[in-house]
Amino acid sequence: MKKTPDIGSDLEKMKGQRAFSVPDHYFERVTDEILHSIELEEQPSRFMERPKRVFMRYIYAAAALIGILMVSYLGIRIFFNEQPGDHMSQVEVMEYIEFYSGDVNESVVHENLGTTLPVDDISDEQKDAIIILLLNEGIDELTIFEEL
Amino acid sequence: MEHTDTELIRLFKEPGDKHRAFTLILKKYRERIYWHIRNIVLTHENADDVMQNAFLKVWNHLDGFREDAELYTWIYRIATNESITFLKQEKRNLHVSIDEYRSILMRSLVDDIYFDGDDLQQKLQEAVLHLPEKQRLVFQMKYFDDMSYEEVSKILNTSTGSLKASYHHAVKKIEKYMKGD
Repeated sequence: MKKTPDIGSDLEKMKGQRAFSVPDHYFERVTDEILHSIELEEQPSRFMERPKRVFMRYIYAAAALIGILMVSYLGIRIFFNEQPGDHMSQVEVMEYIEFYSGDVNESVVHENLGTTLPVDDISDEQKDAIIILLLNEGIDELTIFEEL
Repeated sequence: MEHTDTELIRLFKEPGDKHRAFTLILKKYRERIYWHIRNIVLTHENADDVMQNAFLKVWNHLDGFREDAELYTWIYRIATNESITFLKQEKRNLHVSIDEYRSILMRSLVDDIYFDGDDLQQKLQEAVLHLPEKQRLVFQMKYFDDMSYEEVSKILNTSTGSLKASYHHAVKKIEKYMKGD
């Protein structure tokens, strides 16, 4: 050990002592993990295709459900003799879902639903349907959103 | 026999040998780089994240590495930058002041099951955390990593004269802090 000039006695005494440790076999394991990450990086298409397909199935399911909800909603309004007004079209809702498909948690989706769209134009049921379909159908959303 | 850096870079640039060369680079530098990162970010969990990011950067950019710098200097520089960026990012994410962040880091260190230091070593880490960034890095590389001024100079791209001054100031401040002045 090289002697470092002009350091105090406490510092001199502690020099070379290692206060940190690592888990057993850490360096072997981290080497494998890094090499594995590199393999994943090198094969993006193979690892992204399936989640994307799964995700799109949920988009289609969401579209169908929203369609049903909107038709029911309009039916109720017509039944009670109300005008449809300027509510969001299904296409707008779909565009919205696709735009925010990168959001990874429910609160972010809720927050954006409230701030970036005229919130009155989309019903609570529609919001919940979107969120539930995108996030709570047993889909591993973190993996899917990260890899999209 | 351990390969030289020049051999490893040449091997990395050979078609078909990239993975083998990178594995050799990892094995050659993983421990040194880990301890360097750990001294900056303090906990094992942080060091593990930063280490993986640093080596992914090495992998992604080694093809374009110009051999006007040494490989080990370049890897250390990436690891240093990643560590600093990590700490800044974490502080920003937590929305805390620098003093609060120091306390958070110290608490994480004390709670880290992979920290075996006694009170004196804790005090030393706390003192180092109070140094300005450049003095902190110079002190860590000199004191903990046992690097020469020339090596630190290449990594931080600073003259050895300036590093000697920084180290001197750092030691004085640490001594003062540890005495409780």
